[in-house]
Amino acid sequence: MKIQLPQINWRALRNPMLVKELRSRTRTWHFPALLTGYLALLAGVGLVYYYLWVRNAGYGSFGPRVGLDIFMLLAIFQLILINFVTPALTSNVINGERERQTFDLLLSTPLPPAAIVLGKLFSSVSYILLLILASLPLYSIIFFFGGISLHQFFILVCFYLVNAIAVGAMGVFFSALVRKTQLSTVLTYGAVLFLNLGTVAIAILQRISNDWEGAVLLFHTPLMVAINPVYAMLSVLAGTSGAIQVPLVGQIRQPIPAGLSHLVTPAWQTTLLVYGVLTVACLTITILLVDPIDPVDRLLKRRRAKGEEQNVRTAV
Amino acid sequence: MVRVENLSKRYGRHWALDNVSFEVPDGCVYGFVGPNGAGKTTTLKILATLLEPTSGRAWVGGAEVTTSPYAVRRKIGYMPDFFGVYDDLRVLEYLEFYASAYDIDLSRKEQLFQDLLALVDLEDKADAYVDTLSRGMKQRLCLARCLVHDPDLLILDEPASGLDPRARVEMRGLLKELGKMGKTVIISSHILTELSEICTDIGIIHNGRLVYSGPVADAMNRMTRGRDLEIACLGPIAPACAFLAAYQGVRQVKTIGDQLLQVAFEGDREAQSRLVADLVGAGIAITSFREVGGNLEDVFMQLTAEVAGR
Repeated sequence: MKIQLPQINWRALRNPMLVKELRSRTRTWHFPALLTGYLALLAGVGLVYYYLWVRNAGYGSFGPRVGLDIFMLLAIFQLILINFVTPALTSNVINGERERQTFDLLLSTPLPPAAIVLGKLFSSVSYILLLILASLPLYSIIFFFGGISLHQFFILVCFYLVNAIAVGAMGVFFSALVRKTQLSTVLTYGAVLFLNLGTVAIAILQRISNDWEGAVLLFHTPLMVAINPVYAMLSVLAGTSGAIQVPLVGQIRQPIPAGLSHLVTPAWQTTLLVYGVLTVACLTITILLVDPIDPVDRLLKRRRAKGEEQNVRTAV
Repeated sequence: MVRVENLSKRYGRHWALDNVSFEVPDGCVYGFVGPNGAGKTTTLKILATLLEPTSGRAWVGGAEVTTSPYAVRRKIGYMPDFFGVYDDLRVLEYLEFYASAYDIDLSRKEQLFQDLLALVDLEDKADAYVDTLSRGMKQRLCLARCLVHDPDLLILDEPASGLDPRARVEMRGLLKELGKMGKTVIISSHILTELSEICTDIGIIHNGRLVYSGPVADAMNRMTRGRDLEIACLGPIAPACAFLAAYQGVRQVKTIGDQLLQVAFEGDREAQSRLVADLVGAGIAITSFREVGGNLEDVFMQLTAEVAGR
């Protein structure tokens, strides 16, 4: 008996916007230049730190500590780079189409707004993914020193992706919200700056003034700590201990409000959840903003028209 | 093909469209005429599902524009008055992108794109980057893009705007070709001489209100004043001059040379026909009788002046 396997309609899965964006993005000289610059910066940071370490401690200090330190520095630096590059790739994708006067042509095709928005977002994210993948050989050198498990490394890469998608979704959202590309870029960088630095400033103030008393908690983690991507990333490396020694900074311990020490969830899990919700919210609003015919209104009108039709039929 | 019922669109306090209703029959080339700001682009954008009307409804090929926008988008090819192109794509890639947006099977793309580029006379530019094309070429490429899914209706908003005279003539030829192919075309313009050559029907819009919609010939027939006639006579023209000067509806008689008269006449085509019969009846030998002017511009000016005077 011949078993009929279900046929996958690959054409239906193909997103023309994604294909077009990838084609455009990888065609210009910016692409290899950015990739080269990105890897050079990461490698430079690692090399400089290793050089300083050897100069201070000598070759005898070769071991997991230096591996972990370099890994952590690279991880932090990579996160900063991702947060710096992603807004540049996404904060002008919708209003840029408006400025180039290509948006009406695009909307007059049967391409649904969701396909346009997701195509734009994922072309940018795939660009970031490529940067991350290209940087993997750098990290593989760190495994030579030891101190990091593959499991932690996998979570870290996933976290980078979720972070890039969330920041990208914010960029796409602002690009649909405001007409001017400069303004949407400023707003996206502002939001990213708030997530990376603003939250730290507020968390420090909360810690100093009232030791988290009255702070908004998400899964028993203060909100400002939970939404900070750098802290979340460090919590991946901290593992179950909740404390981590950050090179050049010192020890960082996950803040635990009084009486809740038995309920602590690693910060990165909360952050992933928050970023997931943020991504879905940003994309949903963006799709609604992009659609020229309000989808809710469309459904209501369709329902009304059906009702009228039924009334006519009943009357006949 | 297109039915519009009591369409209105308000921007703040300004009504861009006020109760506009018209129909565009299958296979006709419909010229949408009006001054800048009259509401042409707003109407076309609503038909292209890019704008929601404040009130009223519109159908394209039986699909309502606000409740079934995706069905409408599959039936139309829309070319806006101002548009940009993806300058980092080649001409074929540009067409391929839009073809895949319409979910067209790309296995037959080569023949399709070749035919389209031949139609718009861009065959030799297939591998050129879009940003290297001239404005006229970009307009023609955009037209090819509109045709990529073989739509029933083409909505062209000022397709000849910004083109040099040569490109205008080429664009006009292309539109005539589309008319011959049996496509229904709605084309807006404020250059009326261009439309008069290619349109079978027109809609005249002024200050958001539709002044006239119907066949071009009927619009010409509605002209009731300011019609100039040129009459050539056999023999002396003095009797003809005297007859015409006393004829009802004649405002002015001018002689041009020995045998030609130019007559300013108030009356429709039936009145003109009676005038010819009366001239012959009066024993005046006529060798030719024709209207001078009476083009779309005159129709437009008269109809919009009537509305303004109301």
